[in-house]
This record gives sequence, structure tokens and C-alpha cells, in this order.
Amino acid sequence: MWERVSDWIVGILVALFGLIGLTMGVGARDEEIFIFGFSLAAFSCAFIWGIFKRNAAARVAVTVRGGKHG
Amino acid sequence: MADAASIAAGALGRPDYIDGVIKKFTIATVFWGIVGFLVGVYIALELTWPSLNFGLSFLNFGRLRPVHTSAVIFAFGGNALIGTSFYVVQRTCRARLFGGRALSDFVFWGYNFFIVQAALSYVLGFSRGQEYSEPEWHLDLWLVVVWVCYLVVFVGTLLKRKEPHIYVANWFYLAFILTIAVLHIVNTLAVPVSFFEAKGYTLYSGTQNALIQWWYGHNAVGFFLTAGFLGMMYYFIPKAANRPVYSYRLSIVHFWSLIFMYIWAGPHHLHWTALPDWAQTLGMVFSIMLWMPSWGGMINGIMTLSGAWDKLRTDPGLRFSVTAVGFYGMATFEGPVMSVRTVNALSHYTDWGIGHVHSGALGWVAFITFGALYYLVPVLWERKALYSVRLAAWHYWIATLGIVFYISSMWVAGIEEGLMWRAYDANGFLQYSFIESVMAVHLFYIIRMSGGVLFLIGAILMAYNLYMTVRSPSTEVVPASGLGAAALPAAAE
Repeated sequence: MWERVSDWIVGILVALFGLIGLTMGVGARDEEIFIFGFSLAAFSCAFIWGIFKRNAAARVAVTVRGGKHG
Repeated sequence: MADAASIAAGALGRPDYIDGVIKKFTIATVFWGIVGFLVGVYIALELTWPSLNFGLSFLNFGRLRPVHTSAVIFAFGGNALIGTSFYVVQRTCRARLFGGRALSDFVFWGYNFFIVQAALSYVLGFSRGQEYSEPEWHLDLWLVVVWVCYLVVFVGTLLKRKEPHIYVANWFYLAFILTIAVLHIVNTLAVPVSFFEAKGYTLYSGTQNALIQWWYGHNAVGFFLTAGFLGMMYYFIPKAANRPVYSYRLSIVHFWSLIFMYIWAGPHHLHWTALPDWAQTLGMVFSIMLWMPSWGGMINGIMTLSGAWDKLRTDPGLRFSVTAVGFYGMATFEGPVMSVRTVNALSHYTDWGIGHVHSGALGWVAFITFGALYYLVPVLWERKALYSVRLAAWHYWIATLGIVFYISSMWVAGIEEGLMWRAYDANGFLQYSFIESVMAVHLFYIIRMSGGVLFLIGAILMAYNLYMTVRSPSTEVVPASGLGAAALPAAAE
């Protein structure tokens, strides 16, 4: 239960950082902020995808163990 | 939602630890170690033959030097510290990491994102120009976010522990996490030019800036490179030796005296500068007092092997750990000597300082980490033993020889430089030009570089050995409850 809450909190925070990164990258006035901003946005997408993937895999595993497949 | 590993752990009757993230930290430690040592060897080559920068800005010594220091301290050392702290706090508290996989995964990926971005920014030429604190404001802020999450995971796990006692290793890890947070935040307070520009200006100026920088810098040594790795020592040496800590009471005295004294020692980096004399003296006095806790800790670590010395013949990982404690004692003896103002007049700005740092960094930090890695990998990947004990022994001797080459050449070079810089002729003129002192130590730079190459070769042997430990069919798989089942080191008193 608590770990699902943690997934949500961390996921939302990382999404927020991704938006900040995107904003920085778009308005960047030097190559450092350009690279950092867009990398942060990409990091955010990859991390949230990881959370989705892990939870989806866990859901499938529980379904399979419960004999609900097929 | 429980995954397959959690259910399997529950069925075996052991706590449902989060080990996946520790495996990631372990792999990152080995990877960044080799990257950091490789860059170190390259810049040692550049110092010996400067034309090896090929006139390219991104290969310039000034840009690659912080890549080396950040890679070995923050990437290699940091990943080792965070990974082992997650391992130790779960085992000694008998509790799963607070915040679950999402938060601990964020600490791993967020921290390594910081490392990559910092290295890129140095190569591009962005730097605050302050040693060990080079990243600009945006990277500093990102590190604060990741570090606070790390603190939340660690403290949260301590709070939900099922063991009444907080084992001493956790105290050292906690001091490391809390103090580094404070040091980093205070030292990097800055005003950015703009939200869209990397340049920021520090809040402090002149001597105040220097003092705060070296309050940070020395305590990065004290709390990142010492307290954290002492946490590692207090868990992995008793576990590998299967002996209790020599004196648990001494470990508590070691902890409180070390953290009280270290925080005052920073001004010894600013001897003979515009810093007021009383502040320099304060730094010197506290540095000398540090002999006591440092050597108390060293004795405690080494004496933990009482009754188990024979294991040094058969366990190269333990040999690494114990040698590390010996180097810890040596480096913490040398440091206070160098902090004495009259000695510092000779040693400061010379390669003696580089030799001193590397006796601690290679001998203490890297060796205690190698010892922990040789212990951890078979346990985490549930393997019977290391792929090759002989290869680990080769690693030990090659790396030890590398350290001897490195530090002895730098001692000689440093003393020679110091003596040449202070030599006057009969008319009161400097006897040598600076370039003469550079030419005089050329041979020692070659020896230093050779030492670095040996250390790198040893690390590559370790990486191969650990990879084969995980992959080779010869390292028979054992049940999860086999190795490391008794997680708490035995009580001493």
C-alpha cells in the first residue's frame, strides 16, 4: 500500500522536474543549460516509464499466479 | 504490489529486502571506478608529457582533472557508499528500505544523472572553480533533491527498524549523509545570472569564501571519504572475518570524537594566507587532536581480526579491507603532521599533498570498497563464492604495488619541490625558477603514472572477476537463505 503511494509521489515529483527541465532547455542561453534541461526531461520520461513497466509486470505476475490467465 | 522476488523472500522466512537497487549501485561502483582511474592515468600522462592534450580544449588538464576527482570521489565512492548503506541499514534494522523501490531507484538514477551531467559540464568548460565543488547552481540544486531523498530513505528505514539497537555502522552512515547535506548546501549558495544560464556567483567573497570552501573541502574528506567508509568498515570487516567488533564501546567513542573534531579542522588548508592566525591555529590544533579518534578507529578495525588472522591467507577481500584500515591509520597520521604550520610551509602546494591524498584515496577508500565488493557480489547475486580467489589476490598485489609507486614518488617529488621553492642564493634571490622544479620531478611523474596504470590494471582484473562470479557456471548457485543469513555482526560486549 505505502509503496504504491511512494510510486505516485516519486512519479509526480519526477514529472514536475521533467517539466522544469523542458522549460530550461527551451529557454537555454548556453549549451550547458540546453543539455541539462533536455536531459532532465528525458530522464523524467524514462524514470516514469520504468515505474509503469514495473507495476505492469507485477500486475501480470499476480494475475498469472492467481490462475486468471487464459 | 508484491513482485515475485518479494513473495519468494517471504516464503523463505527472511525479510523482504530491496536488493535490486544495491546491485545497480554495485555495478555503477565498478564502472565509475574504472572510468575514474582511467581518466586519472590520462591526466598523469598529461602532467608528464603536456602535449598529450593535443591542443583540444576538452582534453585540457584543467577540464579533465575535476572529471577524475568527481569520478573517483563522487561516482566510485558515492555509489559504493549509498549502495552499501542501503545493504547495511536493511540487514542491521531487519527492515525493508523506506519509500520502496521507486524512491531508492530515484536515488540511484538521480545520483548517476548528476554524475554524468557534472562530467559533461566540466568537459564543456563550466565550473565554479572551487575544488571538489565544481558544478554550477543547477546541478547543485539537483544534488540537493537527490540527497534529501537519500536521507529520507535512510532515516525512514532506521525509524521502522525491527532491531531495538542502531548498529554503529548506521551512525557513521547517518553522519555522512547529514553532514554532506549541510556542507554542500552552505558552500554552494549562489546567485544564478539567470534561470536559463549556467553561471552563478557565490554568496561569499574573499577570505570568507576560502574559509567556507575549505570548511566544506576538508569535511568532504572527513565525512564523505572517512565517516561513510568507516560505516563500511564496521559492517564488512566483522562480517567477512566472522568476528565481533573488537570493542563496541571504542567504536562509539570513535564516532562521537571523530565527528566533533573533524568539523573544525578545515582552516589548516589555508595556512600562511590572509585567514587570521587564530583560525589557522584552531584548524591545526583540531587536526592534531584527530590523531586520537582516527587511531582508535584503526586499532578497532584491525583488532577485530583477533582470532581470525588466518583468514587473511584465504580471503583476498578481507585482506583488502584490513590493508585499507592500515592505510587509514597511515594517512590520518600524515595529515595532522602536514597540518602543522611549519611542516605546511614546506609541503603546501607541492606534490606531497597529492601523495597524501592518494594514500588515503587509493589505500583507504578504494581498498575498503574493493573488500566490500568482493564480499557483496557473491552474496547479492546468490553465488557460492568468487570466480577466482587467485585473480583477486593478483588484484591485491598489483594495486598495492601501484600505491607504493604512487605515494613514494609523490613524497620525494613534493619534498624536492618544497626545498627548491624556498632555496635562496647568497644575494637573497630565489635559487631556482619554477620550471626548474617542474623538470626536476619529471622522473617521479613517470613513476606516479606507472603506479596509476598498475592500480587501473588491478581494477580491470576485479571487474572481470566479479563479472565472471555472476555469470560463470562454476560459481554454483546457492539458496537465498544461505550466505549472509546472519545479517547482524556479533555483539562485542
